[in-house]
Amino acid sequence: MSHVDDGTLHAYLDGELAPVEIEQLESHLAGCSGCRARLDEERALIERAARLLGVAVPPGPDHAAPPLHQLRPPRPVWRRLRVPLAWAATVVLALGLGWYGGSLRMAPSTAEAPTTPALDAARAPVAQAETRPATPAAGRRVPPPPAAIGALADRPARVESDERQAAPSASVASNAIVATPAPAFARDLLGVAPVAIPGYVVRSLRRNPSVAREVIVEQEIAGVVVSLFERPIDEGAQAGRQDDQGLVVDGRAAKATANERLARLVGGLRVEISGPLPMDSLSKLLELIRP
Amino acid sequence: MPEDLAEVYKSTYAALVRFLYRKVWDAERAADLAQEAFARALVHRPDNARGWLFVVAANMARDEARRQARERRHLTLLTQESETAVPAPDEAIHAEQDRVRVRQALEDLTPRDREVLLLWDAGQSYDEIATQTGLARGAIGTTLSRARRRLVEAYEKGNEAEHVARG
Repeated sequence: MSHVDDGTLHAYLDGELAPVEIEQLESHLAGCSGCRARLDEERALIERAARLLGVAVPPGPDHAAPPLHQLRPPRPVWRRLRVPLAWAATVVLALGLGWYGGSLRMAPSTAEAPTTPALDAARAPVAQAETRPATPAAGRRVPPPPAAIGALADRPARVESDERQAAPSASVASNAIVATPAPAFARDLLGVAPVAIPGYVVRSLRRNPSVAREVIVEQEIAGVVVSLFERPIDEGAQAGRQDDQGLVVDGRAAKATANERLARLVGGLRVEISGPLPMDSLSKLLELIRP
Repeated sequence: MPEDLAEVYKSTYAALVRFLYRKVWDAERAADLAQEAFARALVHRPDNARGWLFVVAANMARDEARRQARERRHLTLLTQESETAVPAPDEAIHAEQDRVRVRQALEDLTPRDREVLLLWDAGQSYDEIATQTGLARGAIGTTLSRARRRLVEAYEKGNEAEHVARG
């Protein structure tokens, strides 16, 4: 056996050599004083390096690990996604305007429709939203919103359509952050900003067309899509749905009765979760949400 | 919650915090990130939780570093501020200075050498380090020997420079 290289000496001293390699090495060392001296040097080097690393530890007293079930990610997802969201907002807006413009061309009778959608959403009276053919129902998969929701309902439905159009390209670029902003409609609808599970990409955010004042947030978790159904707490009571039973307000998830969805109160919102994950995973995800 | 994750949490938490601290150099942030990694493990339930945690932690630390670079909040500045801002007993000052020197020495290593060294010091085996870094298992010993030597050399060089500067 030729002389031993440094890597082998370190692996030997680290206890990471295979038995057969140890045997070879030790028989060489027995007859080679040079390598024995190097072995001592490398041992001293390893100790020295370990001592130095021992200095690079968090200062102050050791903080005990909090109980595992109390863990929560430190930063809310909205803040972490602010830059990508702003970027995505631009894209969605561009897509939306393009789509809007396209529909205008296809339906000349809508040429009178205001070209400032935000103002439109804020001002348009209910009657106008009902009578105006500006929202081309032909391309839309969801039923038109009930008149009672008025102009607000008009915008969210359009946002959803935009996302459906954007979906194919989004699924190709799977590594890109595919997120939509928390548009004003969601905040207006809920009274507070929508919430999301921290640390996961928000795939879409849209109004639930079949429930007044409910927003659906879709997030990608380990390759599957989990949906959050969020609505104001008072709205849940007004809707007279049964599934408010079983809620525990202190933050622990509890089973809902009406539709087997887990639900929790977060800030001023009632949040239900569903997705192709085990119940305890969904429960855990639900618990991660912070207002 | 899988039983073994609770076990891994108990046995690995401190090592993970240390591993992260040597990347972000902020004790609280390191603890936050370690807890976030475990919170994610609760959801993902990885098969090899220990290895998975270090991969996730390394990624989070990298993101953190990028974010900090973006925000131009260089930790060197923070460290200097904290040194001048907090009157501390001599021992604490020496410990802090020593920590800064070791940190500087660690940052003199190549990213690969540093990663392998930190993973080893966090209790990962050669096999685990190889899996995580993509290096051949046979290259780990060589990488470690080089990383250790350079760490010690860089630290001692920094010390000498300081003594010269102080006259």
